[in-house]
Amino acid sequence: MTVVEVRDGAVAYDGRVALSGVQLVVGAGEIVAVLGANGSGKSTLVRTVLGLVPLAEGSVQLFDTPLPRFRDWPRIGYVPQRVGAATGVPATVREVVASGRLPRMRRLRSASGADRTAVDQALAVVDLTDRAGDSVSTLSGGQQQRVLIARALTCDPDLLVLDEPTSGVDAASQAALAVALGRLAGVTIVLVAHELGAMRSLVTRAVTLADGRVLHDGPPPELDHLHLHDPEHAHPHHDERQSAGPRQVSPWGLS
Amino acid sequence: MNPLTLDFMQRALLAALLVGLAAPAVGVFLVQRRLALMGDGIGHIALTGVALGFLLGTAPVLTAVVVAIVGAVVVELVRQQGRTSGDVALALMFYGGIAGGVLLIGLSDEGSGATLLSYLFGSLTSVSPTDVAVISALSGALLLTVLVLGRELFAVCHDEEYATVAGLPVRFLNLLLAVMAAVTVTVAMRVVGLLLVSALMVVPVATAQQLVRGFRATVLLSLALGVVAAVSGVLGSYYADTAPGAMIVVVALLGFVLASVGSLLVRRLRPVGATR
Repeated sequence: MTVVEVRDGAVAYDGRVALSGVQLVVGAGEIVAVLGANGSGKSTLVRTVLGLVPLAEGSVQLFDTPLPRFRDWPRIGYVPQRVGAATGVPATVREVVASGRLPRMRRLRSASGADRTAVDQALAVVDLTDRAGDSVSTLSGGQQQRVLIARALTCDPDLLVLDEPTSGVDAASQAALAVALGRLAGVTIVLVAHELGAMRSLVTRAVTLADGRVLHDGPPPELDHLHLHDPEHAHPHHDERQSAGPRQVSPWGLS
Repeated sequence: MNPLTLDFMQRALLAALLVGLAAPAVGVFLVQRRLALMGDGIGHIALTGVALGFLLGTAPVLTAVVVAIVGAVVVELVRQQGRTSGDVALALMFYGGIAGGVLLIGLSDEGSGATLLSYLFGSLTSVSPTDVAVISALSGALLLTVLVLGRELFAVCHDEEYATVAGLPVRFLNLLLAVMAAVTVTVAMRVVGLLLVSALMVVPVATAQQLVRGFRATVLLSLALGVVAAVSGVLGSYYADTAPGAMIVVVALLGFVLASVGSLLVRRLRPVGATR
């Protein structure tokens, strides 16, 4: 079965081309990394797949259903970039994670035992059970990322889409993230990343974008970017938007 | 004299109780979405509705509800389109609402400076039996909506994109919240006044989040704080003979200062390492 299918996908923001001529087919059980420099269109691609960004040309299918007719949203778990983890009013880890269960809950009903179990299990997968009662804003970046992953998992999704789960997350937390994702047997995963890092062992396929086009689609690279050991990148908390500007070199330039 | 034996004070206190519950219950979602000033903008535009009531000779509460809802929905639609930033849309409401209100009240025969002031800052004697009925019905509807759709509103205000992918009716819920904010403003305007209503929507929430960790706990505590501020503010304004809105907001702000100092002291006194 095809989980995600993009045909001739093109997207433009205010006349500026963000994606053009993109073909992407993701089968069930694949773990695909969408790689590329900032501005390459990797986030736009997954946001287009989810219907958050309108297509200018081409088509998207989810689970063999054209996107405009797709209604089976509980099958999809979305982990957006971490900006949304803490908001104006404090919320506990459990409250945020439980909000992910809404698509599976009957409207206007209180949470059932199954709903609570789903939340407990999602918290356990990301190792945050003991932090369930804490305010999300007191967590580290990597822990907040795991909260958002748990939120997506409460729906028991068949497809998990993660937008830059490793950005601004230190190496140890990246490893914890990879462990959590590795526990999800049978779930198709599409994750956007600046570089593979700790996700390398997990990923079965890498799609590299540059200037809104697919540059490479195949097995994940053996080595990461040239600057893998660059001291600037040894500090993942560094704002990548500032540091990545002049580095738009393809990892494939080496091979 | 015991104020509780006076008819107008009984009505004012009942209205204060209901407003003290409804305002933070809706305000918490505005604060969560970082739209704390939304209630202010709607309050300004509702003034035009009040003045329109005087000019047309109908009940100002009714015209205020209609105009406030129209204004709130327009701002929400503008925000959804992304054409104008949220704060510019709010600024347009602020100026247009106040200017329209003062202009129309000047044109009407009934409206005077004193009437205007009673709508801007609240008035104890102005709460009529009809007002109490309207306030009860509308605040009951607001609280029921929060009770029934609170989870959905939380999800949308917490992370709009996630809620979209989760298949929630995000546009509808956003519009619903705008309408709820508009209704709250009109419900509260007799007691707190249009210029200060937003404070009762925001300050109890800000106070509560100094003291508790979760969203549900914040909501419950802010309801309690809202009731305490509204009721004690109304009583205080009776003895001090001031506008109730001002007294309510001063009490609410006092609570905020106390909570801030208290939580700061607790954090200071707690031994290092005790915080997780």
